[in-house]
Amino acid sequence: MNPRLAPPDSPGLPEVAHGELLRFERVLAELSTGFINRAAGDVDPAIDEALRRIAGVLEVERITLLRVGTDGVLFVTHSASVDGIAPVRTNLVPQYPWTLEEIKAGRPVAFTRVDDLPAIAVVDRANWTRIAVASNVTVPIFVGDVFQGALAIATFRHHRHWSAELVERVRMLATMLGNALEHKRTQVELATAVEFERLMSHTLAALVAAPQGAFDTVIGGALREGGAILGADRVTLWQREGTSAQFRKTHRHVAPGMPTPPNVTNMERLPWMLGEILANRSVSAPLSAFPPAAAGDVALLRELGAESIVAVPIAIDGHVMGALSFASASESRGWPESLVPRVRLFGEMLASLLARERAARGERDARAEAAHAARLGTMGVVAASLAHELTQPLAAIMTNAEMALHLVAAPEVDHVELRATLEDILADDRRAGKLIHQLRRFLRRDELERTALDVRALQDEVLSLVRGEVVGKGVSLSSSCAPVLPEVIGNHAQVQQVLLNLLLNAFDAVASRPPASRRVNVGVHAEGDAVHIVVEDAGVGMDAAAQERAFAPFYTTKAKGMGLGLSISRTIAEAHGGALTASSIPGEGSVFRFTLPAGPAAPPRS
Amino acid sequence: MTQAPPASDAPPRIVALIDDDESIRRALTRRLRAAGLVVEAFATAQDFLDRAPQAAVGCVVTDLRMPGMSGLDLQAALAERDGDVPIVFISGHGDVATGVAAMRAGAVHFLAKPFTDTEILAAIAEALALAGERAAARTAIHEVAGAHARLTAREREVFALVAEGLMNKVIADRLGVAEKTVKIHRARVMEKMGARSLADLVRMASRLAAKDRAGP
Repeated sequence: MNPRLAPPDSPGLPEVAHGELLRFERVLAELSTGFINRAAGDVDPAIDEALRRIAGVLEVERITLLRVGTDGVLFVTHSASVDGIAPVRTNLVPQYPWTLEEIKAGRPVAFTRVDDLPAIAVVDRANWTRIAVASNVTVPIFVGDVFQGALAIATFRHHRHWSAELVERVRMLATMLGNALEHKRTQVELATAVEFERLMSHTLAALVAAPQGAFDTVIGGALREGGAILGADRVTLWQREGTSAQFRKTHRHVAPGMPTPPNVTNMERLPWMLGEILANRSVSAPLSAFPPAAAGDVALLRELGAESIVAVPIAIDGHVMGALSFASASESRGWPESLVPRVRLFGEMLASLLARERAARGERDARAEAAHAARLGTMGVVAASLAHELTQPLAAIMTNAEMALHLVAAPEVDHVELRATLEDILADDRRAGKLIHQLRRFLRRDELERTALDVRALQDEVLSLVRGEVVGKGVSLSSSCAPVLPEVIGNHAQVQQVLLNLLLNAFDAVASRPPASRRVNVGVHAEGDAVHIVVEDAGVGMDAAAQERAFAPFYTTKAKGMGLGLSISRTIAEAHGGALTASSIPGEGSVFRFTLPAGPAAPPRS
Repeated sequence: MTQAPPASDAPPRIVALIDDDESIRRALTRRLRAAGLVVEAFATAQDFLDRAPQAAVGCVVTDLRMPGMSGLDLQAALAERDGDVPIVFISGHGDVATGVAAMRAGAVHFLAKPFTDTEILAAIAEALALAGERAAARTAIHEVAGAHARLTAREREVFALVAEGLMNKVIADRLGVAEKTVKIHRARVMEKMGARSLADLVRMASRLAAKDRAGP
């Protein structure tokens, strides 16, 4: 017998199974409405409650939600069980290797008796026998085609039959819960990221405008605000003394009640952290999650009032010059995964501006330093655009879920319609998942890595990021891409950022035109030894003087802009050995041409 | 407005649903039909304007942000066409300013997605009720105009003067006829117009005046 799927049920479903399916579908419908627009903080209790209800409907003894960690291990996030059965605490990998392989491949694993498992699942079988599981179903959770975890349902007191229909509905439930959790994480990360980027842009603007002597005040204020956003009780900017292990604080903000450490820390007393920082790696975890090798660090950090830490190295040309650290007195303080690159940017920005002030190096470097804040201003636009897109599947799920409730409440249940409705819910759940996943990818862009770029895919991604903005501004956007492009080596996030900047600028340029003239075209093609990304708009255009100024830092025609977009875009293009040029006819429109040299040999310009 | 009123007295009851998102169209069509409504869905505002049987449309439920013609553009286009069909806007977040503009321009409701079925059903019920009232008012005006057209030239003169609130004697002086003749005309006017009282007649006159102001 194939353990993955229970045998198909006979055409006349037994009454009991039928009634159970209906009850399950009713709960599914109710849960679908319940998870829509739930505030991030309410999601976890709602999931616990959902698991308890499902356990009741299915008469099972334990339901467990697992999430895959960065190391591929599944860890338990939620577990509900009836009296007398312990909830799951441990991770799944070592005990159930075959099951993990199956669900990672997208196949559910279900068995009525442990003996139904195939011979190859010998380890899994032994472990299930050991903990006395009678029957079990484990289904995978995918969000936007990415494996995110699993939902496992177990009985201990009776051997339960898992019909194909039931397994299908369990998958539906799993997808729904997975999306709700992912949505929650995204909400939290997005809010933090937007706040943080706002802080960076404000700080940068304040520093540029500040008279030289006022730098310290601005940086002190920035640390305080950064600490508030992240919920940290102590924020410190450290400068390393030469190549030693001595780190001297240059600026610090300490919340009331938090101990103040000495102004110079000998990092040899924090050997593990020193190793990480000098290897240009960040640390972001509660102390309880530090590895055993960090026992000495943990003891000292606790003495200084910290329970959770984010510390990022500040490196210039690969050499660690200092560090920026955030400490929280609360262990439960979680740091979103997408945070670290932003904290690094923030630290490097502060450090390079400080260095600039000390050396009084002048305007030319300000541009290169400002390039670190590459995403200023675009983040909010992209987030709003994607958030709008997300309301579409959510609204459809809401309506369909209520439809399903309406259907199951009818004296004569229309099964065909009910199934169609539940399938639509699932389809929209997947669609929402894809959008959420995209948003998270955007949030987590790696700052440094250079890889072979698929410019076509990159273009598609950017187009989907701005779709809401296109519709909202009434822009008619067309795109084209040559079928074959030479390989280009570069930083995915940065190249994406340039295209994003060019598109958002183009939308602004056509915004004041009559609707029929709000045309923007983006085309990708190969020419000579380069890939050309060309953005054309039928906007207001620029005269010769405006073209000259367009690439200067802090030049802007927009009320809200920082005026860094084009300046940074050109910096990025040049750092890739390429170029960014503009040509324009006033009153007719502009053409921006972004070229990237083809071939793996393209040297990064230092 | 010279065309005859719809042959049947049934109020227009088709709910026209316009949203560029296929999932939303499917879900809402399904839900609204289950509530006993007659629904026709359109992917674009232009498609609705081109294809919908306008006279039978009781209300429009439309997305605000759509490629091509937006919900507000549609509202303007319908107003241009002398349509008084009630509009319910549904929209994703971040459109508050647009929502305010829509309500100012006469939208019945503005619902932010995602909304509950209770909210959308109540909004549609209100819109359809409003459409019914408007249709009934139109029918009434057509009846009054028809009756008015059947009056003789002299009866129309008397009607206008009576509606101004003038006494029979004054009307007789104005028209240069005997007061008794005015009384006979006045009785005929009341009968032909189906008016039960002077107040009735005054109301009819003001409706006719409003219709004339609205123009053809």
